Amino acid sequence: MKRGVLIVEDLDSDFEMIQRGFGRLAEPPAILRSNSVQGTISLLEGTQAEERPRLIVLDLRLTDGDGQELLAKFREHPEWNSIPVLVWSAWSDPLAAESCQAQGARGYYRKAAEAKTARETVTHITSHWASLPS
Amino acid sequence: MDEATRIAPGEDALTACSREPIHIPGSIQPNGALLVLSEPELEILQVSANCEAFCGWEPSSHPALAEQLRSVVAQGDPALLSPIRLHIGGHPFDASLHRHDGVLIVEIEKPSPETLASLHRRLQKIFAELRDTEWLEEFHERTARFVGELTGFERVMVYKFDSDWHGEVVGEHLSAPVDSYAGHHFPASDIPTQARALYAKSWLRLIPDATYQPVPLEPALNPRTGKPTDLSFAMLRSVSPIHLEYLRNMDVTASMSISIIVEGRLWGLIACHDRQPRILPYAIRAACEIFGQVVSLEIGAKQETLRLAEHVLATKIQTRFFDVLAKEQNIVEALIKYTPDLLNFMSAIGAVIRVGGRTELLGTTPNETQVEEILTWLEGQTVRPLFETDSLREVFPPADLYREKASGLLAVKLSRVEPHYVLWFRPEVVTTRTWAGNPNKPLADDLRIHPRKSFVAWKQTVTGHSLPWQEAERQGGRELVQALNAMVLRRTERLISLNTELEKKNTDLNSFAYIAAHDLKEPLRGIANYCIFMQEDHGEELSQEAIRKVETISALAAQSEELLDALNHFSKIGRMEISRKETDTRELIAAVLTSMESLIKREKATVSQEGNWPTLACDPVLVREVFSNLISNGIRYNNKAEKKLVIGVRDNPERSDQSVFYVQDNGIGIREKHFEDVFRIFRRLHAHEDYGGGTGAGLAIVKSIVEKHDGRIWITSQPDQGTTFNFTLK
Repeated sequence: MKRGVLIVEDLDSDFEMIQRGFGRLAEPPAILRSNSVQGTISLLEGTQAEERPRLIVLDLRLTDGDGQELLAKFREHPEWNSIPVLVWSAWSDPLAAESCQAQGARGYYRKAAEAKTARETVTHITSHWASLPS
Repeated sequence: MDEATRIAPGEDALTACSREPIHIPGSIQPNGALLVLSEPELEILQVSANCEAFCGWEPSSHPALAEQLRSVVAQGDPALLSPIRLHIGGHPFDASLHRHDGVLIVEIEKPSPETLASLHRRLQKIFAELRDTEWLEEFHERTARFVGELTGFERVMVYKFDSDWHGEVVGEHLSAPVDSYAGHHFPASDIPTQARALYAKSWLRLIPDATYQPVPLEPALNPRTGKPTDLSFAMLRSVSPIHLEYLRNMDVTASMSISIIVEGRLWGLIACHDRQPRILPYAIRAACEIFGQVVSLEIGAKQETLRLAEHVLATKIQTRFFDVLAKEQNIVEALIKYTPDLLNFMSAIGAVIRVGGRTELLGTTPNETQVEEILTWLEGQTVRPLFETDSLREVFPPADLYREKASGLLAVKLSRVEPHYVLWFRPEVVTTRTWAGNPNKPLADDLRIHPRKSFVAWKQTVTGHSLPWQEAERQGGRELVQALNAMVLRRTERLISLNTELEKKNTDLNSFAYIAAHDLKEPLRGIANYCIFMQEDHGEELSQEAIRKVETISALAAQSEELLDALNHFSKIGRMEISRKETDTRELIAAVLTSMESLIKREKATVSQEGNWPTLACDPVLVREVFSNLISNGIRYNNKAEKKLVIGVRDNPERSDQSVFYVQDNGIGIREKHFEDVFRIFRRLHAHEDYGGGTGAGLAIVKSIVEKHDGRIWITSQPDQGTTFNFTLK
């Protein structure tokens, strides 16, 4: 399997939003999905280096905990800490953005119901894939 | 107590009397002989001068006497063994012995055949009668009669002391045409202090013949101690010459008094008078002593029964009153509402309630000014837990002016610190209360005696007094304080409980709002997302109408999210503890205006400032939010060509330490009927799209912040001319 994007998201409609976004790219990446902290760890541990995702989109509100736990885990892990992580969350607390970025997140994006904003945010997130070094 | 002020002029003899040491007269009455012996040797210390003449005793016959005495003393307490039969020079005599103050006193009198045993049935009979007598008047009559019949004295009176030691004759028996003193009062000075002290210790005193010449003791002082011998308990003790004169003035030759001691206090005397000399044998005296002791016990028991009955009655009235009070919320209103009960349960004619600076006069009381004076004076007195007097003018002289209304005062203080009082007044009562209510019988005019003069002096001192306060009433006063305090406590507790509930509800509400704001956003976003998927996947199949509808659904979802965000923000503010810092409000305004620069410029609004911006303790982050919301509203709810805003601060005319901030616009204005409404969360007075939209949460947040600062916010406005929001921050 080619190296693609790991989307950590427990809500189906949010997942579909971001999945469609990646699907509209010129060269759509492969998509991996997990919906929990534990699930993410298991998944990553189970992948070989050549299958490892090149980008992670991370929601903070997961079924079994806070996504920030994963940020911490990624940072510590010698093989995972090089994967850029974009946080995409409904959490409106300004301190949360600072905290995530202090823990190594490459970007922090807010989810929105308002259509225009939502579309723009998805575009911003997915454009990161295109700008990744090959 | 200053006795001199109580006696009419010319009666100094009576006052001098009270200082005389009557227990060490150094002499005896001549109807017997007295020996003072040392213990345990029984040697002669002092002897009455008439001893040899009376019983033939002489120093040489003493060893034989001492022998008899020694065998008696060896058996036990000589007083308990008295009287004993002694033989002196071959003649029999009766002797009473008692120990006192380190010596043995032997009183020798002529022998008598009568014994106590022969009197015992008569005693039993009278004791049973007294026990069954309910009415005190009858009780005292029977008491006097028994003693009169037993002893033969012409006049026997039951004499009762009041709390000031004045006396009243409450029962009398006459067996001769002598004057009656029934119902008469006598001033305290008639039986002076040291006499009363003596009477409270011994049970009986007898003066067989008031015309006697005192017989001195020889030597005058105890040779071992150099001090006079205490004859308090010696029947032969010689009495004060002043007292003898008093008796002679009353045409009394023989006199006896039996003490009535109730609950350790000298309640009164059974006083016996005769115009002729009268000697009573030992047995009769002993019977009188026993009788006095039993009467004392009976009176104590009857008083207790009466007190109990009064107490039960008072308690019944009080309980009813307190039950009724318990249902009331406001103390003063409650007491006023139940004025008749308030007065009844204290047997008062007037009351004053002074709570929280407000004074209410109920019933008959002195006037307002006079009541104020009393209250001021009371502040300096000890009112813990209550203050009472039955003669107010004695302790507070100005009260003489209104003694008719307020001779008696009972005051309770409701709070330990604050001057909150309830006062009850009693009117002046000129006659003293008696249990039986004997009418005063007029005396024959040719008697020129002390009692008559004493009577006049007594009557004069009885003005300015009310009926005395009873223990039941004092208790009632104390219980009123407790009941009122309990009311206050209940109210405070209720307030605390309400506050706690309120706080909890607020906390719950805030948590709820917080959770709702977050959990609700997910399905809302879901709705919005699916609208997008609809358009992406089925846009070509849908008509324009259908697409528009889908867009509307999406917009509504977005609006809902906006409301949830506003609610979340509002609840966060609500949960916040404000942190006050000394803030320069001028700088704060400058920062706000800077951050709103683009909005202001875009809307082409002019914002000016006025007033002296103070430095005060407030939460700068929250206050900035207040100003930005108000400024933003001022700009948005404005359809004038030139939007003008004035931000200012002025002094509060009502409170010198308070500043009033204001944001004034020339916008669309608010109608007065909406002044309260606009602060409600999500309450917009306009359609959703008008005036730039908005959730309607801004003012709710502003109000919440102002109130967290213990300030308040209010609006002044004219429709279409502009609105001013005014607020304080403390």
